[in-house]
Amino acid sequence: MEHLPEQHTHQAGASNHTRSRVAASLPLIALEDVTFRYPAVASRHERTASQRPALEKINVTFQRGEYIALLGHNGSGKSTLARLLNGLYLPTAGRLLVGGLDTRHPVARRRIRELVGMIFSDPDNQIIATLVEDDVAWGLAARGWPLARIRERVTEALTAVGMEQMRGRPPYELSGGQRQRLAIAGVLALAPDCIVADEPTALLDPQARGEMVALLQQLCQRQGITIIHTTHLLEEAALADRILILDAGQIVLSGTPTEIFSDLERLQALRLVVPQMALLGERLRALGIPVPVNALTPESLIAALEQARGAASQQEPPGREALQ
Amino acid sequence: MSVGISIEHLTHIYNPRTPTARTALHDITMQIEAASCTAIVGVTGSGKTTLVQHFNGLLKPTEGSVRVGDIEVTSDRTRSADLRKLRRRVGLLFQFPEAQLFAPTIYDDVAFGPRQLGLAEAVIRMRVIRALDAVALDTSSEFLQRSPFALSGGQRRRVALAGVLAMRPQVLVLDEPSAGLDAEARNELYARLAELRANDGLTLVFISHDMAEVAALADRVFVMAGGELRLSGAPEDLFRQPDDLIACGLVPPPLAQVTRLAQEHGWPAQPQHFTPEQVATALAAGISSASHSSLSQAASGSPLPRTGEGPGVGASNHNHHMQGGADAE
Amino acid sequence: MLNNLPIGVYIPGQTPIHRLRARTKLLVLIWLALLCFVANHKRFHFGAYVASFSLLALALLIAQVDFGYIWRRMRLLVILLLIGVPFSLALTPGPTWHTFGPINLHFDHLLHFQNVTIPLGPIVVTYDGIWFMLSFGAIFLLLYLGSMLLTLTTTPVALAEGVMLLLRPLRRFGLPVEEFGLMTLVSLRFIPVLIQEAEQLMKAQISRGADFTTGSLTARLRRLGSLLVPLVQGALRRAANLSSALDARGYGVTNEATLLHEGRLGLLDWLVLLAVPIITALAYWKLF
Repeated sequence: MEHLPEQHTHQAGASNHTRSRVAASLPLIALEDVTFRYPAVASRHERTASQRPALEKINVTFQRGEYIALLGHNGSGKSTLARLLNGLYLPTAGRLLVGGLDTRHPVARRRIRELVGMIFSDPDNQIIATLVEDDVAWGLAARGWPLARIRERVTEALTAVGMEQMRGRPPYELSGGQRQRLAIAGVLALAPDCIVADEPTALLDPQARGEMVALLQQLCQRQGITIIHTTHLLEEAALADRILILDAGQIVLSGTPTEIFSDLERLQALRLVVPQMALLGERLRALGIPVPVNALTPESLIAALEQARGAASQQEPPGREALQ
Repeated sequence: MSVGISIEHLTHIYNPRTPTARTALHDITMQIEAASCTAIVGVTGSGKTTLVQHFNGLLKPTEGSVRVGDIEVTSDRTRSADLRKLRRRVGLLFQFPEAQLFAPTIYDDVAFGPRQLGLAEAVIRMRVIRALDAVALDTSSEFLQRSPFALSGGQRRRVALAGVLAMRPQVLVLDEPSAGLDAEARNELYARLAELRANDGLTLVFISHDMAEVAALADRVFVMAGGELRLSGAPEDLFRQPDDLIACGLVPPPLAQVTRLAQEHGWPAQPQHFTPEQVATALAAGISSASHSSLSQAASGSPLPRTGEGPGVGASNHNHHMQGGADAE
Repeated sequence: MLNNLPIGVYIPGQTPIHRLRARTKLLVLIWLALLCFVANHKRFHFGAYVASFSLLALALLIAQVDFGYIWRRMRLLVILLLIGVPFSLALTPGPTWHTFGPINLHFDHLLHFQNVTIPLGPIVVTYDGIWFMLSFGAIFLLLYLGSMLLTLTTTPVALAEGVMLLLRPLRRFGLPVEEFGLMTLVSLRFIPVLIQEAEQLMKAQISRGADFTTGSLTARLRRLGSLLVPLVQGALRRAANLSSALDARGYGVTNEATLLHEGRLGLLDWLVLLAVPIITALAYWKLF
């Protein structure tokens, strides 16, 4: 365990695409009975008088290349969970392994932070430099990479988020969505196996929000990066491979979007805003029209309806077939 | 008594006559009716916040005028007594207002505004209690003495709203009041706003990104883009032309998009309002009528303006294709 | 209020001043300030000041900075300096230049029953007073304008690296030089953000009844609490988030961070580093 992190840091500098440096048989991230309790004084996030743990006995694993949505209302513990994943917080009890490395191990933690990058809801708090390219380079420079390799990586990362045209711009000239993409580029430059995005869309307007989710999807599909995306919006979770719903520090529901969206009452009881498209789908099913649970965009719903209409007209007397 | 806001040819330029000058608003003329609920929508940077900061005189027009009742603000010097009167008449709740709480107790925080008016403590107390009541917070003296920082995010936002209401405004302007709130807190806020309007005849103006929220609350919508007023009208009317909204960078409410798409695909009459129930009922009627009228449709030609093919084989191929895409996800 | 800080927001550019290494600019500024300070001891010798200000003016011209912007940020400093003028003139001892007064101010029927004469002065303006005013005014102005120019034309990352490089010899004495670099960077990055936040907060409090312009001093101070408490809280929250973000991005992984901007000094840097001291030193010893 001791020698692993150092060795890997050198490898990171040596070759270009070095994802999958961790044995592929292991799950990327494994939580084993993880409990987390905020210290009594510094409980900025969860301020409950009873001091119940923010997370209680969480057991879950995340696989390589998965897109996971962590859902929950404010104070459900989802941001706390996100911050445990790269060792910003350490479990009070239980353990959390990233590629087999324990986050409680200080030497391993360096390596873990390269494997698991993180972005937050306010990009202003993580953009440290005042030029786009400087900011992307910052994490690499802090690790002492040679300048030429930094430039190369910065270009790759900015291209991946569609910001290469803006490398010489100061961040205050960027829109909220662009700033958030810059934050992602800063993390991508370190070639992580996983990106934890903690409420990345909370401060964005709907259009930028859609673009952000599309970008995360794309990073997951094209580069095979595991995405763990916390949100309180169900519609952002609709395209995830797996949805986990947290409430009062526990995982209360988990499954594919189709499974999750088939019980809307449960979701409402968990204080989540059920998307209108899901409500419409449920209404239609109640009226006997078979639209799939995962038809959550207007386009996919209309496609399903067209099929249903086609089927309905096929059931007519056989005489019609002759006409066509 | 309710008052409205009347804006004539309002232009606002930040840092005028300098190299960093930037036109944030250009020639805006709009009427906000007394006791109405008006939504102002637009993408970030479209000038919404700059616009509403004119309503209570935080910003002054570079050109044009803003009139609230008998007070008019123009580019000329407005008397500071008038400005003070205007700020009492128009309450403005900023975005993420919970960040402006500062007092050690909830009572002191809500009483902050009224205290500046030099009212007697008994009157202030009454105002504080009424304001907290209006936002459905506890008014027990135990609660009043608690720290506002110990509350949840949604509750803190309501304390901030109470702080504005304690000034007894006639117009309440809210900058993205529901941003970052969860479902429960959001519904609670909507209910309170509706109540304020019904009980006190308050004129409500709010900025929003959420079209579903706009559809639910507003009776009139103004759409801003690039510092200009692009569209205005009742929400139902605006949502019936989603393309215009999309051109302004906005995302129309999904149910409105369903209705529009359904119409393009030749589904029968669609509803005027956009609740899931209404849309579902209309679509279901479309299915059942399809099974009855498909014979005549097939005979009379294409009801599908976009595909331009016959409704039978062509359309069903199209459907299978789309369905295949959905399955792949 | 915060608009009067001598910190500009970096505006990207390609002028020679932009291209100079941050440490060159820092060294030149330190040199000019020191020289002007030393020149203070030679009364009524303007050589060093004329040379320093000429160079600074030249740099401002080359950097194509917006003079309106600089003037807006300088107004308060100029006013403060002007307020200080009568005091420094009147209160510095030394050989007399001119004596004003005494002037007798007559008030008839003051308080309705008495005639009062208040003698004012005599005010003795000394040569030392005049020199003190001129030289220190010049040093302030030089530092202020110089740091404006520095921050307008240097990215904070470069500046932080420059500070770190210049302080590096002190690492031997256990000084946390890298941390100073990061501190410089974070302050430069977040001061404009905090200014903006303060302005927003002021508007928000005005919108719920605060009036920061009238009332007694104590009342105004109390209202100031409505700005300071949320501002400090906001800054602390930001700081906590920022430190998480820096941790998450691997701050402090190695001690030898790569320098992004402060590579080897170029020809231009050497030229400036040689020319500026020579010109100003000559002006100090030989001219005037």
